[in-house]
Amino acid sequence: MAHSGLSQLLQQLEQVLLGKPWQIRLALACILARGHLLIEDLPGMGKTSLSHALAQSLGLSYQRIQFTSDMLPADILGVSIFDKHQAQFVFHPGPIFKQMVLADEINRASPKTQSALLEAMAEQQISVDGITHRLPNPFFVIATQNPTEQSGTFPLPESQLDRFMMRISIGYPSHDAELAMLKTVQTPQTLDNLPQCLTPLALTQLQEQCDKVTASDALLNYILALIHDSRSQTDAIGLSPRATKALLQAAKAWAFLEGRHYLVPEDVQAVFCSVAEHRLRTSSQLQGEALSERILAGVNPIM
Amino acid sequence: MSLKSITTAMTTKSADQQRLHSSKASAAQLSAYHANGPQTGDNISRQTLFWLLLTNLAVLSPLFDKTTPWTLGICAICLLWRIGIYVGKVAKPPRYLVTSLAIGAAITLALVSGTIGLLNALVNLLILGYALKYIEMRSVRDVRAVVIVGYFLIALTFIDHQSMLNTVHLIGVTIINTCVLVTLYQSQHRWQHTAWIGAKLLLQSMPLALLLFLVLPRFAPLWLVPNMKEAQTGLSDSLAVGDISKLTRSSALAFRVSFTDASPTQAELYWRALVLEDYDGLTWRQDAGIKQIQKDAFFFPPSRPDPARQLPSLTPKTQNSTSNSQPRVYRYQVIAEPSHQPWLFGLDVAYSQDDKLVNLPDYRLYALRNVDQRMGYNASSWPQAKMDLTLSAKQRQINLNLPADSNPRTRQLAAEFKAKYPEPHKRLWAMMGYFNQQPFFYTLTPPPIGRQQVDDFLFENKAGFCAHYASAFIFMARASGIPARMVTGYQGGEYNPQANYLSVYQYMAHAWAEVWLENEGWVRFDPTAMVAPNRIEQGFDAEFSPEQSYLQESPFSSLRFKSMPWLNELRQRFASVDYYWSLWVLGFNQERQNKVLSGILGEVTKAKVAMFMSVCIGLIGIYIAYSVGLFRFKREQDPISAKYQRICQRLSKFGIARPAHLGPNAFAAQLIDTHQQQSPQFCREFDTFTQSYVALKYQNLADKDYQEALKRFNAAAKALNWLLFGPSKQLK
Amino acid sequence: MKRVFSAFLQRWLARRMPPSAEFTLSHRSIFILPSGFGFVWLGLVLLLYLFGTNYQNNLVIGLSILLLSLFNTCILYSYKNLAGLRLRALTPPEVYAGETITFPILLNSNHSSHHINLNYPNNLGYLVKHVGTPDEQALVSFANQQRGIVSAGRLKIESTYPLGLCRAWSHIDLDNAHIVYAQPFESPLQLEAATESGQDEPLEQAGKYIAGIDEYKGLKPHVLGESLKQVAWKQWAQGRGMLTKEFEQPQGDPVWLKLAPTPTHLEQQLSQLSWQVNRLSQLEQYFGLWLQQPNGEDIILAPALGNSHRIACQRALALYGTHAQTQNKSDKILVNHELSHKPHIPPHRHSTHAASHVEDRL
Repeated sequence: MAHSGLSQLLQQLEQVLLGKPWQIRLALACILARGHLLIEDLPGMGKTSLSHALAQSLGLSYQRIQFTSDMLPADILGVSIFDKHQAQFVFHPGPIFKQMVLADEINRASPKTQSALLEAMAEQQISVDGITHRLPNPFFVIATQNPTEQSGTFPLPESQLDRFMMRISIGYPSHDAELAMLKTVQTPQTLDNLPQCLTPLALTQLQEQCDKVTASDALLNYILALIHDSRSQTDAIGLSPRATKALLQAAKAWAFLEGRHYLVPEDVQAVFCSVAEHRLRTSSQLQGEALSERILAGVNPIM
Repeated sequence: MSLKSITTAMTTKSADQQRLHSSKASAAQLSAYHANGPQTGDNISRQTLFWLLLTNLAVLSPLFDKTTPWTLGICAICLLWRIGIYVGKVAKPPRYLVTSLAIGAAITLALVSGTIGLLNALVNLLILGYALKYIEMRSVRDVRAVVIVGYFLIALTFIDHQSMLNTVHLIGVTIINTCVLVTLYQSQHRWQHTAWIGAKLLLQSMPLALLLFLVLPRFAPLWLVPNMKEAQTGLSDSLAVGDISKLTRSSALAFRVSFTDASPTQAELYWRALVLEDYDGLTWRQDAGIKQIQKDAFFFPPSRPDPARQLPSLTPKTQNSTSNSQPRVYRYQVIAEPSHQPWLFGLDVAYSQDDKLVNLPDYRLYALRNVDQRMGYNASSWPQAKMDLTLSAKQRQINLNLPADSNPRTRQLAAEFKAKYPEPHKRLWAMMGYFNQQPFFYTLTPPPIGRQQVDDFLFENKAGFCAHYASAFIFMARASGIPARMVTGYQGGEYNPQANYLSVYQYMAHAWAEVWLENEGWVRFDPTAMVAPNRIEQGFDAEFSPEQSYLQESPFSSLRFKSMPWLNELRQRFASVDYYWSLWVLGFNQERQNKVLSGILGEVTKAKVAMFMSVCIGLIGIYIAYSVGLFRFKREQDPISAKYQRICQRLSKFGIARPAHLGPNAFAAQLIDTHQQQSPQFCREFDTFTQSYVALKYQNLADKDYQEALKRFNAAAKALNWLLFGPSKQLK
Repeated sequence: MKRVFSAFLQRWLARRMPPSAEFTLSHRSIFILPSGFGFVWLGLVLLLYLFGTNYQNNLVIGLSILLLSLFNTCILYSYKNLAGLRLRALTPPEVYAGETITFPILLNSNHSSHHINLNYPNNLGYLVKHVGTPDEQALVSFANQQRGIVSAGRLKIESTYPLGLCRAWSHIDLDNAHIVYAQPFESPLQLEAATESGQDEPLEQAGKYIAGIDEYKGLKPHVLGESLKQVAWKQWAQGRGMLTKEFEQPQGDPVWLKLAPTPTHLEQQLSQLSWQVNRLSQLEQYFGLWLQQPNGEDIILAPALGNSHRIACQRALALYGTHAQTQNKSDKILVNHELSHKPHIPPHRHSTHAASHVEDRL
């Protein structure tokens, strides 16, 4: 492990979300790669816990927004209200002005509201009444989403999905993990009392170190081969250049978490499904997941 | 319920957007399709035009000397026009203009064809067509036509440019011409790339071409083809006294000879080319009778008996070595330089069985066609054979004929000789002696002589060269009643020890006399030998300094190096290469072909040749296929990865297959996990192997570290191979 | 005779190179013969040989032999140019009968291939100048008049690289059958309601969303005179001014496009339906498609909205009465989940509950 704070952080998170070290690493890699994270799973799988614990451990200002179908953009971004004393409009910032925003059940909100959030994510700033307000730095959005099959959901359009660096799903815990979970007592208070492992400044430094992870030509060619393969699938629209960049960035973060200063194909493979899944638009019944695995299986990293 | 329906509305909406998007995309695709997709037909690319320009220059420039001024002018205009089109300043000429120009040119050429010769006219027509087609080129088809004609023009150039340098140059032109075709299929626009492809194609075709050159059958000319009209060089069929001195100022090569067995001495090298019997007081000419025979030679080849058949009947009586009953014979091969005349050269008495030439009754060799290109022929000479033991009355009369009222003083001298020496043999030697006793002087720049040529020479100037002496001697002989005639040709030869042949240059041109004696036939008398014996015995250089004579008019001749030994050797070396070139490439005929094939195969049979051919063609096919890349179907892989793959492949034979998508580290982990118990040593090696592989491929190492990692990698690979295939097979 | 031969040829080709969406050219599938120019070239070689023989000029003979050898080299180059070329058919964009289909085909090759012409028999060719490792897309056109599943047949891949002396070619079947929609033919909308219950508004309007009370749509600036019940007071209290809440609801029952086939005018009827399907989709109207079949079950597409519905309708129309439809052969192309064989009453968009919920929140 490259950094003591990081290992401590991982350990701590693993205690919050039992038996899911892989997902925790992915989430952390996403943050190190300055990406936004989408967690898709059934309710009650620990999405909220994970994100809350992440914010708490990283010492970031945190706000949870529970999305509902009647939510309006202003409910997230904030409104200008007329201040009678000053005789002018004063901007009241919405919940989004936090370093880490948990957009819970984002697919419950109407598309309008969704896109307001996603625009803010993309530009790291918002415009209300013609005035631009910068969002804090670092700025992360962890959105959770219920599977689309569930009733009462608005699926995120593909173009918006592209803004999330990764999509992960947590999945049911293993027997042992669930048993362990039942044995420990965890209340929301325990989450709030989690010790802070990293400062925001340290996080920025770690992000910079991630950028310095080197990628050899052979590896870049491997990435390109994967991307190229995704584009030539008959039943999918391929990955965009933005996805290519995200893949490299995420793989670097993963390598950094592995304590390496260079990339190997395994790093790419580790993050590929999470990065590519939600961007592969399939025209057939085949799920993105199966597709991304098919692509991975079809490309030989030895080149 | 309602939310669900909104959801479906949303999806359909987004699907609509997507459709809009895709239709836009397909519109963009369609426009791209029209821009470059479907065959845009026959547009000639700029790159092709560029190469065409180059080709035009390259193909036409060596033909410069064959063109009439008109042709040259039109070519120049066409070229300028084309450059104008290329640069974009001029439009293409209207078709009618080109057509009328072409018709006009063709008519003019037809009119002048009488003066410049039919072949020349045809060549000019072809050149004109080439140049004109070139400016009105519209389609790929036209480009191809131009290229085809280009090849033909190159072939025409080969007719009288046959030296090695020329060949190299023309191969270059061929490459350029081929490049035009290459550009039709190239998306690469760099000219270097095109040139490389063109050169590569031709170079790869060379081996097969060489083989075919060796084995393809050679035929005799199938029909008579028109000749080029060219300025003739060398000896002519008439000799005005003074002509030879012009030749002595030329350092050009006349012909080269290589003797099969023994070679004669310098003094024996009298190369007979022409026999001149008519004398009008000023000029020596061939007799009309022999001229007629020459003219009809192609259709009614004259014949004379092979001296070999005549000789054994002769008893070796008076001449030199009596002990040797075998008649002396010289067999040799001559490579004549193009002179554009039919005269060939042989030592007395020469006979040749080649089908390209005939043996004339005056003991000369005569080519059936003008020597327009280097021509090789075999000949044999029997120096002891006699020429014309009987002389017909007509012949006798021709060879005694003298112009009336000419040279009275000489006639008087001849009469004196006749009175003093009634025996012809003695008389002739007395005449020869006369040149020796009187103060005659051998010079290449004699003082001018008047109408009574022989009188002036014998009694006034007493200075001249071979033609003067021979002419005076023959005059005296005839005047004293002995049939005599003038023979011209070359005397001597420069020996090249490296390639073992003689070079005969134009400056070795010579004239001598032949006298007919009872029982002896025609006997050679060379009065020049009485004046300048060195000229005959040691060669031309012994008598004259080159600067005075043959180098006067050729300041850059390599013969200047004769005085400097090592440079001279270099010159001779070059000359030998050129000689071999003439012998083996230019003179490669059926005979040589058989010689080569029998050298390779032993006895030449059809089956053997066929076998040899197919083996060679097979080898060449494999070679080309390899160089084309047919054997490299797989993507060219980095050698390190290839080695890694190989090891993995070997592992798969032991049931440990690497799934194609697995990264090296993951595979190693998997392998070590499963095989740690059975074969720890192997796992250790494989770990090192993987580590160094990963380091090499993914770590962007500095050069030194890289080399070290490479060393480790190779060592590990070797160790693994040993473990896998060595005596102690580790994995079961 | 000719037909017999071509049939034989087709069978032979099919055995040798069976249809496949992805194809790599190899020695099994490449044919090479001299091109017209190649024959001219060989003529030149012969001419030069005679010329050289007559003038007894070995260099001219040498040139002719060199050109012959060059020809031989070109054969190998031609072969290599096509060998290893991989072709893959992509799905073409949607197309109507009478339009030209452009089949997108991806080409790539491990080495470079040059100047490859692709075309379907009797159609315009598409020239690919250079193919390397990255995919190159070629759009090969195929003029077509019919609706239904259209297969373009064997694709001809041809190249005369490097010098145009030999023509190397291959006929491959990329198995890219495509559904061609019926040619749209403008016609008045002929809509039918599912239930004949008294609807007074014109059918053209049925199935559209109109302003209503059921579904919350959004806020818009208040215009004087609008009902005060609709004003969003909460927003007013936040100082955002007077805004009106908008609601909408679907109007009436969804309508149906129906085909009662008459054998003589079937194609025209389909064309008209094709146009109407597009028109209704453009108008964002709910509609279903009901295709009666004289012998067999009717094809019924439940009323829906949007592009995927439009595509499903067009497919049903395209395949109506064709072999493929009865065989249901190419599952790949058909979107089955939209095709149901049971009449399906469209879901009513009752959402009072949701609307009141929204109200509460506001």
